[in-house]
Amino acid sequence: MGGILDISPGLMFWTLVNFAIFFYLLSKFGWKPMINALQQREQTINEMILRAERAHQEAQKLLEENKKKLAEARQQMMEIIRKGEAQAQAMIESAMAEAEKLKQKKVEEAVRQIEQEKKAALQELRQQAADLVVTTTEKILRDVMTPEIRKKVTQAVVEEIPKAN
Amino acid sequence: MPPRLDLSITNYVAFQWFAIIAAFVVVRKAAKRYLKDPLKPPKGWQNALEALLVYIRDKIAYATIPDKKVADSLLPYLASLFCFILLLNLFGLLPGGHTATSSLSVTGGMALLSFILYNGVAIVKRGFKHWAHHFLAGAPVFLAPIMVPIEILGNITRAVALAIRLFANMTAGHLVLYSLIGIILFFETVLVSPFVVGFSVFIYFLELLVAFIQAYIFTILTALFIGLNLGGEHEH
Repeated sequence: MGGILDISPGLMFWTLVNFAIFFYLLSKFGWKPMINALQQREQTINEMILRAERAHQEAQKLLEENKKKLAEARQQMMEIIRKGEAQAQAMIESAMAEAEKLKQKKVEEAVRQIEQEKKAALQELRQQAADLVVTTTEKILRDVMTPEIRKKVTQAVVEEIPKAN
Repeated sequence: MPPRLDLSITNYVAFQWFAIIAAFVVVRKAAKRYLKDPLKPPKGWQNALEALLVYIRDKIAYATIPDKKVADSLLPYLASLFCFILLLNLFGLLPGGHTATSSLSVTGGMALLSFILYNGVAIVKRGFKHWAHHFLAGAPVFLAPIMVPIEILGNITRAVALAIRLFANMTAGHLVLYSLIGIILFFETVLVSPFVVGFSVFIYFLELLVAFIQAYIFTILTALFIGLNLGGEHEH
């Protein structure tokens, strides 16, 4: 053996052989499965990320849709309420109008009835008054009629008759 | 002197075997969990190895090699390269351990592989013509007599630099440690030992850092050279 810079072909040969063995063993039993597994894992993770992104987008879309639907529903609800209010108003108005009409009719009927009653009462009053007048007249006449007056009256009536005929 | 192939099992060879065994045991354990259920979150060794693998893939392979398919196919090599060098570096830091990467033969062997790889991948993937065209480095054709030798030299130098860099870094740390310990023997007194030990520990931690850094540098430079030779025409 000489200095440290000497090259021994035997050692170089052994180095090459040993490294070849090293390389073969590690590649076959180590690197290859590891690289494959790494690739597989990277691919899986990439796919997962992609899938998650897609799911996220889908969820976003759904959310948007739901929001839109909710807004629509709210609008519809508002419309229904508004319609209901209007309907209720209309109903109240029509009921009121009907009540008014009914009232009017009742009043008219009452007035008519009162009028009728009044008429009947007046009739009766008149009847009674007439009766009273007749009775009174009769009474008075009975008191006032003297034979003389009766004669005079009769005379007058008799005298009237031929003229009448 | 005729080349003589001395195949005796040295400490360095033995420590390379240790590295193989250690790495295989750990990686096998981690990989088993993947085979059971690849979608489960990683745990323990698996987690550590996964972080390492993903780092090498994203920050080394994908960052330096423009062609993603080539990067994917080279990932096992780069990961193995990193682990091999790192383990050899770290084993050298164990008490009684030998740093295989502090031998120029070992780092030279690894650099030779990188050299073959960063030229071979370019030839295989882009064709010989494209690869050869690289030696012009985008210069006009009449400059070829100057450019081609320079570029060829540069191409070879990259590999040599890889080998020397790793070797020198790993050797230097140990030399510093030896020298520090040597101070005690040199002065033949225990009075210097507190300083020596303090410095040694500091250097030791530095070496721990260097072990990781050099493994990283070797790997990323190999990937970078592959990427450069693969890529366009004008990036020199």
